[in-house]
Amino acid sequence: MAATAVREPRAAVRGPAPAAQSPLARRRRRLFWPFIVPALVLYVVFYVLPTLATAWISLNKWAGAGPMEFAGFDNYRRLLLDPVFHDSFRNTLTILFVVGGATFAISFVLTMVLRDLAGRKAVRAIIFFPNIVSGIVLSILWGFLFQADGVVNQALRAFGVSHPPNWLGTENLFSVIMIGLVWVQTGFYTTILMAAVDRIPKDLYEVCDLEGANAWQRFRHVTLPLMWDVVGVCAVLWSINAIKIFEFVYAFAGAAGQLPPTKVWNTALYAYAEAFSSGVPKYGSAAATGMVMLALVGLLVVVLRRLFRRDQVQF
Amino acid sequence: MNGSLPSRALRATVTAAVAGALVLGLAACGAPAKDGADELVYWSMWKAGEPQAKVLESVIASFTEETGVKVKVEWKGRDVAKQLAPTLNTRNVPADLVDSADRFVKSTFVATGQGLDLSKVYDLEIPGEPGKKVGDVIDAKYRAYATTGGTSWLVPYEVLAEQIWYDGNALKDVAGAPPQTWNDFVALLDKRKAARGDGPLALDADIADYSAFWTYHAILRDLGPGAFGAAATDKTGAKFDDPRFLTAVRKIEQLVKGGYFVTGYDGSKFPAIQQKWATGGADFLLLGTFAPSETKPSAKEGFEYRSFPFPKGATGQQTQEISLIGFAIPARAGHAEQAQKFIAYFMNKQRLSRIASEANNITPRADIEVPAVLADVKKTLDTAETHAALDGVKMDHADWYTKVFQPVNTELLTGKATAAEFVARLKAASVDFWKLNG
Repeated sequence: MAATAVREPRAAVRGPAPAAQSPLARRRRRLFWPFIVPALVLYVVFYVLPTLATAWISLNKWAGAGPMEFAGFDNYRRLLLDPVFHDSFRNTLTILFVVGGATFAISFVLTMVLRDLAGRKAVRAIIFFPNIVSGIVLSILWGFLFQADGVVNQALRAFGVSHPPNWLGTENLFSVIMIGLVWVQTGFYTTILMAAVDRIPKDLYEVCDLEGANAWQRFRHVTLPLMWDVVGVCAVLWSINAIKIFEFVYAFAGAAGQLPPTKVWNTALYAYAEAFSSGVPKYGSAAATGMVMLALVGLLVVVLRRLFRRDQVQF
Repeated sequence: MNGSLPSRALRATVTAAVAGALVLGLAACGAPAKDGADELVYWSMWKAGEPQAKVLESVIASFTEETGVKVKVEWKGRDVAKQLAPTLNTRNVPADLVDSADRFVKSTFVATGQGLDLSKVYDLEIPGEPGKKVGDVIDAKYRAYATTGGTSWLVPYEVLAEQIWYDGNALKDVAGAPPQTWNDFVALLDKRKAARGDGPLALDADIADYSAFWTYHAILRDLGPGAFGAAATDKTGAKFDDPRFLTAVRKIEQLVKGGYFVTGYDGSKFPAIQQKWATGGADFLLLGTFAPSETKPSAKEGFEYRSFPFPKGATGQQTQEISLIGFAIPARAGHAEQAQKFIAYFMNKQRLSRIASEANNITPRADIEVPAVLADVKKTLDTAETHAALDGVKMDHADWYTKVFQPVNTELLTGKATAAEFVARLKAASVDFWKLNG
């Protein structure tokens, strides 16, 4: 194993020192800005400026039209004290950690199971399928599966369960949403993780077999270390996605143009409701929620990057 | 390789790239140019192909033909007010005329001061009806409803009202003598419950408004119109302590605990339960005047749409909840005059009557015949005092309604809270809410 997987010294990863100044390198340097500027301008115009504008709006009381009234940190203070925001924030964290944990656990298991399975490509396509279909369609389908007279309860009754759970009742609604999210997300992460596993050379596993390693040891000492960087990227992707999840909850638990019950809101829904529930729009509060989400994403990305930082393994 | 690109060419590339990006950025912020004086842009809440859109489209065509004013219509759908809101205080408001439900117009235009006062429209003569002004034909109560502080913010062309719907063909005795009081109503429910072995009331409880319909109707029938709105805005919460409030809520508790709602009402996905009702799976459905058109495709053969108002309570008064759909004009619309002309043109009896005959809705003109399925509603509208649906709370205090009332009300309607718990929780949450938002 050690003979194939080589840990490279850090300096080598960072690239050559900038001392070399060949004519080619100089010209390359001169071309740096012309290539960067268009993207940079677009990025500034379409991302940085709107973000700064959002930050500014979050410090104001504003109905979306008419005059803005500077409110300082009042919108943030309200968020801190609003019990509905507390619920929403808790739900966001629950989605992040519980749904994330379940999604990754299932993805790992599927990755391991599918590694040696015949017809794995077909299976991979099938579990990736929920990603291709619009989240709105899936959530509507999910709703019809779980309602009182839905397919799930009919199946349970056929198996003799006379009082199946009230899946869409307020007490179970959020759990069903979480199960739905796991179902939607798993295929995506399994596909990425499988791609990472696919590039691990087969001979490493042959060595494992020769040395009598069991499945867990194989996973712990070969698969996981060699896919660690991909797992890190997936964790960052998931964090960003999880905090922004909106349409599945909105379409699954809401209907007829109405918002879902506040008990299942996450911060994205909270922000939407502040701006677009039928009363006077509260863009300031919605923007403040957006900034809190941005801060949360930023914090998680930094933490995850540190957590997943390892010396790169080349093989 | 490009490394040999001369520096002038390089600078040109950079300049072009920056300019291109800026143009793109600015194009995204810009609004369509407005030139011709004889045109207007109309953003509608309907989607192309809906019955109302079809009526409007053909009236627009004849308007253009008769007046020479071109109307550029965009069928935006129900979120039209939300889409327009961010543009209202810019110089180029992209629409000169919009139509929407009253609450969206009020929250978008009135609260922000960005709506045109439409009093002038009410003074315009209706083309084709010499001597008749818009204000003469629209029922005064609807005009009063759509006027705040002397400013008219909406010219309604459709009136919606909530009633309890049933199949007149299946329940002939109800059609002969609909229940007048709460006790009559419960007696009828008992009879129907015994007959079908399940709750006779249909309710898609996942729609928070539909659950709210039951509670606020009971409150208003016992305490009178305005009582729910007053309690909602009472910062001390004292109004919830009125014993009549608890008595009213107990009626709803009685419906829930007594099993009067059809099985599955609290665990289904809209529109499952209203469809179940239309196919005969339940007897009564408390819903707006859109109930017949929404349920018609799934209604069983021979279904005869009949309705009666929510029964009287302690006040002994029959009142009727309504909401309006109508036109509004942004204060900064470039072609406000043409938009006003169009509204007056549309209010003509012959043209507006197509909202009743083709789109199956009630119009605010008393002289237009209502569709047969809404005849019962019209009867109530003509005799009862009318007031805003949800007592205006969703329109004026949507935040309280969504964050404070709805969660507790859903608990009440799904049997997770008793009437006493409901009142206590509502009061506590209300006081906290107003401390934060008062």
